[in-house]
Amino acid sequence: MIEKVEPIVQVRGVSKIYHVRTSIFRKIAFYALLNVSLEIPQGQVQAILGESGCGKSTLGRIVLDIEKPDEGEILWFGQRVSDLDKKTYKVLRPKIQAVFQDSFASLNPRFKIKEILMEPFVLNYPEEKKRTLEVVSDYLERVGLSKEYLERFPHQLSGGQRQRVALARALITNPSLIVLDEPTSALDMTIQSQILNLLMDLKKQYNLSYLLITHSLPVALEMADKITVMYLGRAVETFHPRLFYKIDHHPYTLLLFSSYPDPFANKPPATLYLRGEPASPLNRPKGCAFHPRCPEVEKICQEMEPPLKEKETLQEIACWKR
Amino acid sequence: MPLLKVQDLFVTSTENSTYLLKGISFSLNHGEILGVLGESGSGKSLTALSVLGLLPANLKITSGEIIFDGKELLSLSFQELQKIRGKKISIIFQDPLSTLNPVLTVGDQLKEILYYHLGLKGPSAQDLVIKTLREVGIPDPELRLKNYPHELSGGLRQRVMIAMSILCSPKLLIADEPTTALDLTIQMQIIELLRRLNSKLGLSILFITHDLGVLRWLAHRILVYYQGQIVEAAPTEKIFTKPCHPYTQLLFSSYPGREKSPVVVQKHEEKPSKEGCEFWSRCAVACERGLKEKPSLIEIDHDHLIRCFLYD
Repeated sequence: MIEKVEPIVQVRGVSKIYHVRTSIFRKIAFYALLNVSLEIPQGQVQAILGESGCGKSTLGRIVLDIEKPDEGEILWFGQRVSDLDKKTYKVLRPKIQAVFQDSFASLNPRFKIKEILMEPFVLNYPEEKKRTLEVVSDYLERVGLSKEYLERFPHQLSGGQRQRVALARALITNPSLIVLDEPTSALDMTIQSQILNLLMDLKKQYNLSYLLITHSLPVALEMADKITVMYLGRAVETFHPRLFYKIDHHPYTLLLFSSYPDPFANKPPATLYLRGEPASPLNRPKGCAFHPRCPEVEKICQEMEPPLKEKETLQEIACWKR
Repeated sequence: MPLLKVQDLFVTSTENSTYLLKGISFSLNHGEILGVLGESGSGKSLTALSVLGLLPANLKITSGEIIFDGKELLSLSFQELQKIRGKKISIIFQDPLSTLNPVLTVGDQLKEILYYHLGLKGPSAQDLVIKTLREVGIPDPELRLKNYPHELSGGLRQRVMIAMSILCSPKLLIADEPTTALDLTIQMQIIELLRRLNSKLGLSILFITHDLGVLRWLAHRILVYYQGQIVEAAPTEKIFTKPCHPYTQLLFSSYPGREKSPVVVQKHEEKPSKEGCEFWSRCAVACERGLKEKPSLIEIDHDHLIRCFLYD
C-alpha cells in the first residue's frame, strides 16, 4: 500500500491564535490550533476527531483558505498558498471544496436548486455555459436526486436531500479534495448511513480525497484511511483505523473510545475513564493539556508538554507514558 | 400494576388534523429503565410531553388513557397536574441552558421547588439541596449554590437539572435526549449517574434517545418508534440479538461500521396511496398486504411485540 503520491494538501506546523476580549481592559489570546501538521494524499480520507472546541473546524477552514494561519503554512498541490499568484490561485481554488454540517445555512434560501448548482459551474467553466443545465442535472442524478428537484427551493427538501445538493455543488467544479465538516451530524441515523455510502461511492468514482471533520469515532473508523485525534488545539495521536484494535492509544483516544459504547459488543463497555471535563482553550492547563483528566498522570505531565512522536506501529502519539 | 400505563394514545395537530401519535400503548414497571428509540419526528418527545400534559397549544390528545400510579392523568385539572409534575414525575430536556432560569442562582431555583412542593424552606431546604447536589456528583455544592447557570459548564448544568428533577424523590424520571447537547466524554458520566440513581433509589426512567450505544447498555426494555407508532418492543438483550422488524433491522445496519446487506439499503418507489403500512416505501421486504392494510402490534414471543405482516 505504500506508494508515493503527491499530497493534495500539506499542513505544516500551523497555529491559529484568536483574541477574546474578557473585559474592556483585558484581551486574551488563545490558541485554536497549536503546531498541527498533516498531509492528505490523493484518494485518501483523513479524519480529524475531537470534541467541540478542539480546533478541528478551524483546521478545516485553514485548509480551505477561508482563514489564514498565524504560524506555519498550507500547501496546495505542493505550492505554498500564500505565494500563489492570482491566476494560479483561481485555477487551484475550485479544486478544494467544502460541505458543512448545516445544509440549510449553506444553501441560499432564495435560489432554486438549479441556480445553486449553476453558479459555481458558470464561474469556473464559462466556455461551457451552454451545457450548464445538462451538466447540473447530471450531477444531481449522481448524488441520487432526480431532475424534478432542479426547480425546488432548499426549504422544500429534507435534511438528507439538502446535504446531497451541497455535495453536488461541491462536485461540480471537479475537485480533488472535499473538506467535510461534520457532514452527517445533523441527520437521522438511517439517512446518515445513506450519505456516508454515497460519499464512499463518489470517492471511488472520482478518486477524491476527503478531510473528514467529525466527533464520531464510529464514523471516522468506517470512513478514514488515517485518523488524527485533537485535544485543545493539538494533535495528540495519529493512527490507521485498520490497526485500531491492535495498538495502544493515547489516553484521550481511549476516553473517546469508551464514550462510544458499541451497541453490538458482547459485553458492557469498560467505565474506567470517567472524570473531569474538557478545559477551556482560554485556560489551557500547563504541561500536557490533558493531564487534569488523565488517569495515568505523572509529575512530568504537569510540567512539560509531550512532543508528537512517531512509533513503529504507524502511529504518532504525544504522551509521556507511551 | 405498572407505574405508568399509556393506552391507545392519539395526538393530532389542530391545524391540519394529521395524526402525530397513532395509538401508542406501553407500560413502564417500577424500577425499570424503558428506552424509546426513533428518528426525529417519530413522536418520541410528544409521548413524553403528553404524559406531563405539556403539549404545545396546536396539538391535542384526541383519545387514549395515561394511567400513572393508579391515576388517570388526562382527566386531572391543571392544579392537580401541577402537584404531580416535578414532584412525582419529572423531566430533563436536551438543553439545560434553556431550561434553567438564567436570572436565578442554582440554589434559589432548587429551593423554589422544595418550597412549592414540600413547603420546605430555610436551613432544612438548604441541607436537602446540598445533599442532592452531592448525590449527582457536583463538586463543592456549597459554592455552586451561589452560581448562575451561565457560570457552569454544560455537564454541570445537566447535573443541576438532574438534581432538580430528583429533589422531591419522584417515582418517574423522563429523560428526553439528556446527553445530545453535551460533549462526548461528558455523556458517559451522565449516563453512569442515571444508572446509579436507578439502582440506588429505584428511580424509574423513561429514556428517549436516538443513540443505539447508550440504549444498549442502559435500558432494560426498548420501544422502537416509527412515524408515531411503536413498531417493535422487546427487552434490550432480545432486540439486539435478534431485531425482527424491518425498520429495526435498517436502523441497526445503519450504525457506522456495520455490514450493510444490499437488501436493507434498497429503497422502494413512493407508495401510491396513504393507506396501509407506514413503513412500506422504505421497507426491504415490502409486501402486497402492506399496500392496503395497516399491520397491528402483535406478540410474537414472550414480551416481544412487533408491527409487521411478516410475523402475522
